[in-house]
Amino acid sequence: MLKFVSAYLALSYVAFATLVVAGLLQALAARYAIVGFALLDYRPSARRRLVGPLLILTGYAWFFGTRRELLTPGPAGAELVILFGAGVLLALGLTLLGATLLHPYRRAGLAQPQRPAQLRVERASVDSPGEAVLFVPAPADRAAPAICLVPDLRSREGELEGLAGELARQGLVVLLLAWETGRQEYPEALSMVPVAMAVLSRQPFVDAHRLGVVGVNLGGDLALRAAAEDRQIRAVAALAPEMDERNVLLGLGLLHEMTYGEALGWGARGRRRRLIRDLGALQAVERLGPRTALILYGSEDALVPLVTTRARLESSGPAVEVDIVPGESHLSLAASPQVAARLAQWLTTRLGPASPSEEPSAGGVQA
Amino acid sequence: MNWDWVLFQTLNNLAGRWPLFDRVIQFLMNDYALTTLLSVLVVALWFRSRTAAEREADQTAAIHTIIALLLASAVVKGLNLLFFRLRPFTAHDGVHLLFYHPSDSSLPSNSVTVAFTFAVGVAQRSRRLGAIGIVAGTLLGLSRVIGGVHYPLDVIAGALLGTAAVLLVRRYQRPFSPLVQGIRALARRLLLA
Repeated sequence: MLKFVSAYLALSYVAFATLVVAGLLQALAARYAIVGFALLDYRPSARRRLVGPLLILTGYAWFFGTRRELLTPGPAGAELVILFGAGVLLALGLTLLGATLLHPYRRAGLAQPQRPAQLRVERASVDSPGEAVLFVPAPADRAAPAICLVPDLRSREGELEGLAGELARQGLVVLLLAWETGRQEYPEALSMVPVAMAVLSRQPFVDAHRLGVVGVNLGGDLALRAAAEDRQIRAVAALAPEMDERNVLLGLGLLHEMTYGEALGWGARGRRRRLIRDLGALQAVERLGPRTALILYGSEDALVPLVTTRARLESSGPAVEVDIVPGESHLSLAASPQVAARLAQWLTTRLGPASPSEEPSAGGVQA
Repeated sequence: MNWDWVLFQTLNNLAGRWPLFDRVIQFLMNDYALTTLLSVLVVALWFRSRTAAEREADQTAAIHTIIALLLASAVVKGLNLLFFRLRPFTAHDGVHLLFYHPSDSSLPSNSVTVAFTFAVGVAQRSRRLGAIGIVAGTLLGLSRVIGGVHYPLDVIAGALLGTAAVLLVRRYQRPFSPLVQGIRALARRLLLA
């Protein structure tokens, strides 16, 4: 029979345990970069890392500074375990909810890569009802190399515009695709890149002999598969491709990269796992030769095991260059200016020189 | 048990001399301060790891710690049914008591058993967390003797019992595997493992 003795003291203890565990979760979020727990962005300032310890100290100061009944009989043993468990659940629920609600504001506060002022950006109808965004960099005194940029299945609208803008600033025409609902299954997904390539080839400011494809996360798997199928694609790069269906974690590992709300939708009801399996990016890499693929991962990637994936990729032949970018995670990689610069340099080398003019200009889109 | 009484008197005589020292001892010996800190260490062990392999090992250790806690608590209850040792403040006059009057058996110390179960449980996977736990458990035991509610032998027995429970569960962990896997599978479905 449980005896809590004093309901007031029991409820106070739950509040105390909630505060202390919430502080612990913030300390862990800061120490181990757990996005799903983080109420603040802990990267920019060491002082922000004090939030967790401060919450714990506040809990202790409040409970032991105001409860006069602490040295009288109260809940103990099994009762205390139950009350502490309630505090853990409450702290966890509040932390996950708080981090999910605050994450968009944290993201908005981060410096976004600026789109070059005179860059022309247009909506381009790739295939009814699909829509893509075209970034046109330079006056068409000669045709420019072009790439299509394939986002992840769960990418937010505009998420890759910074990367697309940066690549366009370096002289590449960029067609940023979006995953239509009808193409989120295999084999329908396979038509995305060929249709985009056809659209790019028809543009007067695009050199149809210098086409490439870049994919992000699951888009990287699709990019590798598309390049293996289409010899017209001269260069392929993938940012943190998933490569293996076993890398689709459905567990705590996801919270190192995203909020709880985002993590719940990450698997897309099994679509992600099925697509990765059916696209078979690892096998596609073996069919790329003599072309070379650039594959980048962040050193802090919590979803793809870097050591084994790198070893498997490198054993698939000389057609792949694997680089690890320090400090970036699975989902932050595409937003890194360092990655954009590396990618632009690699693509322009593989696809040939960009237009000599630095002044971007308009280009008519022929869908 | 003469040494036990002599050591008890030596430590308990530190109480009642300095009000600030007594307050510190009361903070350390109560049912909430250090036991909560020790419980938090198990939560930290559950969530701290970054790779799937580390996570599995840490979370298995955390579940084993909870199983060891249940085992140790059952042993304490069983021992209490077999014999009853009076608390020092009940058995002797002149004890400085800084706490309320617990009515259960003095041997073994229930709170120190819990403390060392947690401390040794987390120490299996993390030296740093384990060191914090063992320091906290030792402070809890020491403060309970200074505060007059336990003999040193009660504290030593509690520490040994908690440690033994963890080592026993670790040694014979196979029967608990389905339970561990079930708990982890449920937590994974909730994206918490």
